[in-house]
Amino acid sequence: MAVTSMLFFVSALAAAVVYRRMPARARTPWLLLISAAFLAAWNWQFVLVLAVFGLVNYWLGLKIQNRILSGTLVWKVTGIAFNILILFVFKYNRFFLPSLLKLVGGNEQASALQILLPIGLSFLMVQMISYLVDVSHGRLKAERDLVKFGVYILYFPKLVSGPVERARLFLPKLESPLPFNRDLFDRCLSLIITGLLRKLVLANPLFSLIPADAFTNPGTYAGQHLVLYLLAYAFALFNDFAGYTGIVRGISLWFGIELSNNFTLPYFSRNFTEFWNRWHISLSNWLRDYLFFPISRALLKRVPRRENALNLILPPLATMLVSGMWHGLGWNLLVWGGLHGVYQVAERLPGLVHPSVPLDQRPRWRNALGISVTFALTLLAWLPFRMNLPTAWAYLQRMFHWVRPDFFLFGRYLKAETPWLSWSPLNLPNPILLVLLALALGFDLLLKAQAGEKDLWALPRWLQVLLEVLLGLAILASVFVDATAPFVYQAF
Amino acid sequence: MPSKPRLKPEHALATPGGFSIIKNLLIPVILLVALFAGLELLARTSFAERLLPLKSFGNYHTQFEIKLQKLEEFARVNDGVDVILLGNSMVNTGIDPQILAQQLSSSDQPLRIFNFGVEGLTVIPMADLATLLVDTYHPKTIIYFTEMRDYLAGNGDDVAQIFLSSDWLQYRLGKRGFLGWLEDHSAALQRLLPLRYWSRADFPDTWLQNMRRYSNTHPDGYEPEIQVSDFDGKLPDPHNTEDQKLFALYGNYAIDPARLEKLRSLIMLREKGTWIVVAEFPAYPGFYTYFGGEQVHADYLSAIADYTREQGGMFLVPISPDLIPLSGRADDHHLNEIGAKLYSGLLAQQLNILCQVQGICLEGK
Repeated sequence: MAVTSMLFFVSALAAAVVYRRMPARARTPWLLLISAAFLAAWNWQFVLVLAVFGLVNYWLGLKIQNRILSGTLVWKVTGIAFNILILFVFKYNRFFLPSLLKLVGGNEQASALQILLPIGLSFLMVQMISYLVDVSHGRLKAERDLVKFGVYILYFPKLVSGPVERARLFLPKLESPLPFNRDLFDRCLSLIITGLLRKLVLANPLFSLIPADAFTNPGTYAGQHLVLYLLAYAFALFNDFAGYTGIVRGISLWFGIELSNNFTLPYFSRNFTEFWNRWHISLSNWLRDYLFFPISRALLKRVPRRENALNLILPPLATMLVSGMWHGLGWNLLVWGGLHGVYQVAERLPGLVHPSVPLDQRPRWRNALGISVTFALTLLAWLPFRMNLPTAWAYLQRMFHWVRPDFFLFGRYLKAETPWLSWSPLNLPNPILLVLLALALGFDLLLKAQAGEKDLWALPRWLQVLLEVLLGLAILASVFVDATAPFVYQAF
Repeated sequence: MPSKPRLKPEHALATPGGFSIIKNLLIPVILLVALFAGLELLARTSFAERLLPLKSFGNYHTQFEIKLQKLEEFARVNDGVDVILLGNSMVNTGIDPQILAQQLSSSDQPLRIFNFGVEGLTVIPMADLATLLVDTYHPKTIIYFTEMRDYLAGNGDDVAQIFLSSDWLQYRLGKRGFLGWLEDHSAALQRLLPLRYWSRADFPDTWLQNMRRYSNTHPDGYEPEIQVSDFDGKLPDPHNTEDQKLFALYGNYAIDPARLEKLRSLIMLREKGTWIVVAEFPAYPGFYTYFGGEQVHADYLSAIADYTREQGGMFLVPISPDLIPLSGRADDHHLNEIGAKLYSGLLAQQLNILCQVQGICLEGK
């Protein structure tokens, strides 16, 4: 069930009304019930798979809790291994199953042995690992209430594509949901409207304006078009995921449960450290707390000097490589993660020579340069994120082969000296794509200038109304256009 | 790797304007309603017609919609239509109604003839389309140009399914629905719907192509094929990969009874006062090689002619394809502008003879 569908909104609203009117003790079981129903709407078998997955983690949590005094290492490692194994079995099986079957003499084609991939498994895996680690470190007591634990796993607004929630922050919210008042109502609406604007007005059209074969056969396009398609992809990806997060956060507030923010205008980041504080924040914070910091601490214990090469290089590189692998098993994603790791290592190097100036104290020109360089390098890294390595390389090379637009013919068209025949031979960019890119950038600039990040109601009233009218038009237009794109991050 | 974020917590954000149910929900709704009302008024002006000449009823078949728009205009300007030439792309580029009308001697006044050849449509959607045309324009005659592919099971089913699933078409065929009603009644929607593909990568090209086709299509529906053809009349080659696909598609030819039933329902429109003539377009003889040769074609022709007569319709015996030279053909089944002129004249002669000898004449007003 798409989160932009009317069915989803109406069902969630009805569920929230019932939730708000029922006695407090019945609310958590109700959340579990509707979340399971939501999951079953995708596929009823998902409910069974995730129930087993949740029960094992629940049991592991209790085991770790019971051994806090006698040592939890074995159970903690078992728990982490179990969750990684589950991800490999369900998500990454197509990478190793054919070879494995071949090895044991089976039919390689038996990879048609379809293993059901429950939605949101990658997101669940990291949440379960942080839960078990937090229990083992005594930051959190293992949850004994199976219903509450079930809601932590299945809570429908965050199930499909996050945000990645920590149990120690999420579970208390079930006990004391935010009261429904005017402030909450405003925030819900702001998040949902902004989310829908991002998804319906910006992301969907941007995705569909990229030709289907641009990312598989870039050789057929002129360099200037490829640059534009890459820009469109970058903005579409951001608006798609940020839009989705806004919608589910808004809907979650109907139930009084605040979910983590995931994006704060990442393309205005002044360096890569800041970028990862602004892009997919819930995941990058998870990576920071459960990978980057532990690796850094372990290395510092060994050589207690920050300038040490290994201390400098390994934590960001390893963290970003794992981030790449989390997105999927493939060399291209590993390269994407590796590039971001290298970027972060590179920007730490000047700090070895002289103390780095905090971002807020840097001159404006330097921050502008920082934003430009960070954005350009992020853009390049999207190439291996989106396509396999040979194609990404071909795309990169082709980006520098610009073909001179036919301004002469364009001029004749404009002067009506010849009838308009077709657009492609002009080698000019698609004007609609340019308008949408300007709209996407303008929207973010406005939010940055007016509201700090994402509060629609902090914008001038005329602009709020204009955006709402635009959204109304987009929703009405979607009735007549069948060009809906699924949320990209649902694939993870 | 990230340090602790320094961004302001979300709840600390200033909200000077705040949210207002009236200002934030009611005003946008009122603005939207006002916008649509304004657009509806504007769409009914000649300015809108000049700005957005193409109209759409939400059907995915753009060429059909161009034809429909042209027919609407033709009927308005000429105060009706006497004869509709119905068929697929062969008819679209193959008959010039102006020449046909000029050379017909059956009536004192020139007949008002419209070419409604629509690409890719077989007898399945044609039966419903003919019903729509008869109910809307009440023509005196429909000449339906049919061909072998119309009766081949499975052929063109995908196009037919998409074509017939249009809300507007279903509405006009009697199935009530809000979207269909809206598409039928709202001038603004009809002017805006051709833009509904704006978010497709190929939109600038397809838009210009559609505009070009719209301006190339004559007011009487004829769309001349202006491309100079290099068709040399050679027969299909069983060793050629492209030809092999067509051999596989059309070989083992058999008439599908379900499709004959569609032809019957088309002929039965005579009960609504429209005379139905079934005819065959003169494809190049080599074209029938795909179907098994000239004998298979002759058998088909005889079966369709008999069936048409059994149902009370009239079957027009096809002219000899040899009367059209290679220079008049765009390929083995389409005519170019030269061929269309020639065939329109030949068709007029044939209809004149029919009128003079058998007294069966096309009627005007």
